Amino acid sequence: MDFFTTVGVGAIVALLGLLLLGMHLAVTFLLVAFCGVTILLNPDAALSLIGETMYSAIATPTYTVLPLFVLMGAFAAASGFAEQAYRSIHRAAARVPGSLAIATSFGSAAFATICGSSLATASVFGRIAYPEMRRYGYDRSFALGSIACSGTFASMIPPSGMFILFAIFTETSVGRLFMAGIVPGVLTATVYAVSMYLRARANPKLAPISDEEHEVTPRERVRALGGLWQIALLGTVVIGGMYAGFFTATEAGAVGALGTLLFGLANGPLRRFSNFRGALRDSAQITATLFFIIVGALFFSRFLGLSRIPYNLTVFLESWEVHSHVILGLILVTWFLLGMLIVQTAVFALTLPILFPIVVNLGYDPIWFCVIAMKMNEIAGVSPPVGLNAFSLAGTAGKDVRVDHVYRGVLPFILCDLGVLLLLFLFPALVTFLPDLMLD
Amino acid sequence: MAGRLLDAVTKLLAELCGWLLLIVMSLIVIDLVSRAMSTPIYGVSESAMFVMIAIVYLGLPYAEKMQAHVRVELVLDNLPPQVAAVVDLVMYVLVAATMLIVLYAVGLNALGSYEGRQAIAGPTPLLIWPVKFVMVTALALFVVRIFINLVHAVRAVIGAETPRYGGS
Amino acid sequence: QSLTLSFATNTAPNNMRGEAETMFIEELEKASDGDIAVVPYWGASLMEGAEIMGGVRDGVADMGFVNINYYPNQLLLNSAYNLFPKGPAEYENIAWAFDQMYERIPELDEEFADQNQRIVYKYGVTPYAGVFKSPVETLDDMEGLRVRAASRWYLNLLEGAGATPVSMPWGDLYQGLQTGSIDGVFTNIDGIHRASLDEAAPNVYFMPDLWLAIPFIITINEDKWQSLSAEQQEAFATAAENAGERFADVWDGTIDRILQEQEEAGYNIVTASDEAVETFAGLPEVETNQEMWSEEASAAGAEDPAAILSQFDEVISEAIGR
Ligand code: NA
Ligand code: NA
Repeated sequence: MDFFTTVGVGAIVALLGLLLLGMHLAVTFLLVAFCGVTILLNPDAALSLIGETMYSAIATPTYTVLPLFVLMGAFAAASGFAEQAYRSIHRAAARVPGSLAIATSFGSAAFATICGSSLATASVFGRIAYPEMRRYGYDRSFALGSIACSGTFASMIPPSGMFILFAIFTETSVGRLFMAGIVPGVLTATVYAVSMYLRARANPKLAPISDEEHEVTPRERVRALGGLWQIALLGTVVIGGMYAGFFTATEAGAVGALGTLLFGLANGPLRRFSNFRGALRDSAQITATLFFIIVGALFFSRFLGLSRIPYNLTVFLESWEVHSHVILGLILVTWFLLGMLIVQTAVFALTLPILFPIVVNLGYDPIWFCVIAMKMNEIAGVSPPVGLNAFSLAGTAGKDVRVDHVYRGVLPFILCDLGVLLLLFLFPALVTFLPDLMLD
Repeated sequence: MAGRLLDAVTKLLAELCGWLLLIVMSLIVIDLVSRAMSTPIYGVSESAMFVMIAIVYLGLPYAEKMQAHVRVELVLDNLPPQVAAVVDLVMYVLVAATMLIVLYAVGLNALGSYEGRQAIAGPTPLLIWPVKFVMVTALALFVVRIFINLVHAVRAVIGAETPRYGGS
Repeated sequence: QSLTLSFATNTAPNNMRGEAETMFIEELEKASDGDIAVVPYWGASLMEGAEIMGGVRDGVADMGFVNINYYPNQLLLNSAYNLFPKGPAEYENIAWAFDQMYERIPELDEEFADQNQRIVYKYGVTPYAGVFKSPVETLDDMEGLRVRAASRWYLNLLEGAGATPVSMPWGDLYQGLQTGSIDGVFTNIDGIHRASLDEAAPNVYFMPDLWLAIPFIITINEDKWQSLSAEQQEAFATAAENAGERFADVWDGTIDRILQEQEEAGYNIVTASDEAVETFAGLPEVETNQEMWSEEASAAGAEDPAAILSQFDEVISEAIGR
């Protein structure tokens, strides 16, 4: 191993050790990466890079959407908005095993049509869905796993910040990528839902069915759906407003927050000043915690880039002469490993521009390959030890939630993701037929 | 006395952050309404971004006070309480040292930004240093908060306080 | 290899800008007979665009890509390029104008020296085009349209041309166009095509005589530079020359390729008439931009901004007339 690789590997070991010993996540990233940059370059360069990263990591206008969705989640939770929605679903889908988790999966997919950020989706549903699922006795890790993983739909289902980034790295069409993500996104939501149903049926402890559920009549089910009118109205206004061109994806967060605020005021709870202030303070705390992790994780990713490990891995893949499926398989493994350690944008910034032409030369469809990459991006967002979605959820859902609870819940969903990945391999048309249909 | 003042300031800042979030929301709504009416106002979304950065850092001391930072507690919980207290203390020393370095680095960066009159690209070249000095102030307060929790960690080791972790 | 240099940039390697930078790296390795190797950090994987100049100053990377527009105050004098919308339309003349400017106006290099770095390579990207939701065939067609541009100077010009200038983050543009929250985007044509903005707004108004006036710059940390041998420094000059010649072909080819791809996709492409270019370059806002810039430059301590502007004017006129 050369000097750079040794430092990189040493840093990864140190990071994992300190994390396990309970050091604050964000600070661990900063410490290990600072030491690493100091060794690779020098102390002055390390001070410069860390000082600048603390600002620039979050100084992008598109990030403004994140705290706004956090605010929206807090308003929705404090105003009883979320409670009502989940109560309605619970009643309408009485005796269906795992119904609230299934609702979360499809709810996240619906939310993904206005939100291009996985982190924001995970934190909104962490605030809204988690307390409700717990209220009905759902297993903690089951609930958390479903929220963290369903949050990743935001990247696959358009609009998607990651797809725009991919399009720029690979010179493919944003429109095609957006179209191509729809079927795999909905497919994943469905596979998740089926797995939730089967798991909850096999193990009622995951999502207990209460006595009162047995008494719900078909009539009551239909009536319960009426309780969803507020969320349906808000959803229609935000989705409609965005696709009618009144506002952009970044601005949808502000409109959503304003909408939940207005409903909360109309319904009553947010008119109590203490509730209102509590929601504000909550959002501030979550925003601070969440962004601090993003800053730390990004700085660590920069250091790991500096160690040239991703670059060397990529060059190695480039130089190998084996069957195209082997190369593709190795790329996926590389992404899986990098995705465990680095924030997703950095994984793909470091590798995609170099790997993409190779894969296309091997004869794979460019759009299909970007969707496969997005699938890996979704997995990277929840896979331990560095899973931003999992962190975001642990920071949002409540005091009793810890990041290891989330990780315990994500594994079955990662298996579902691998299943979907296999389907996309076997039937590439799942990805390509919609863009071909709509844009040719 | 100083402790109570600090508590009050921390809480006040968290409160302020919440209201600033409302301001960000309003700024963005103003931006989109003004654009829809074909009378766009320059620099609104950039200002919203600055406010957001201020929120992130001003909220950190409160998050530390509430012990809201994400950490992996699995191992700590399964150690004997005394050992867990020592490990927790070591971690807090590292956290304090790291954040002192970060504070220094951001301080240097803010100073450079002020001297170079660093501004953002875009329709209005807004100066960046004010928000960077907000970051410095908030980080300083954050460091003070960490040192207070560090004292608690020391007290847990010497037995003057019940350890927070271990023995479960 | 005796020297390995790190290089931070915000572009991906597989597009026009990436090609320009790759060519320089290749030529540098060649000109030094393999003595110098460069490790690139593509796609903002080490630093964002706006961080790179500070990073090169402090040694985070040895070399870096610098976009003048990212540093409105620190590279204020360099930003004067933006004040001259009309420029040469051939790459050779564009490159010549860039070189002449730094030769004749030493203050431009001094701004980089203040940041502890020096320029080792400059290249240009493609000229301006607008993409619109509705057909735009003359400047008048822009009347009332909400058009996004990046720099404050260009926003002023668009306003002068009758459009409603708006600002919006780059990442929101595709969808902004698609849904109609904006009506058009005005920027260099390869940037438009790379982000598929022409797909969302298929009316292309190409203005080959409106150059993207700023040079895209690669710098090296000054301490690093001083530590190089005379041969190594010489290799940089040779590399810059050879890379520039190679890139000229890419530049022409890229514009042709983009226009061809747009045509094949069925987009409506209109090349601006000479009158339209003259009208645009003669807008009163060009002058007010220059006045505003002069005031800011004076306030920032520049001795004779007017003299700098007239140097720019002279070089650009010569370049157009070559
Ligand atoms: Na989405
Ligand atoms: Na991960």
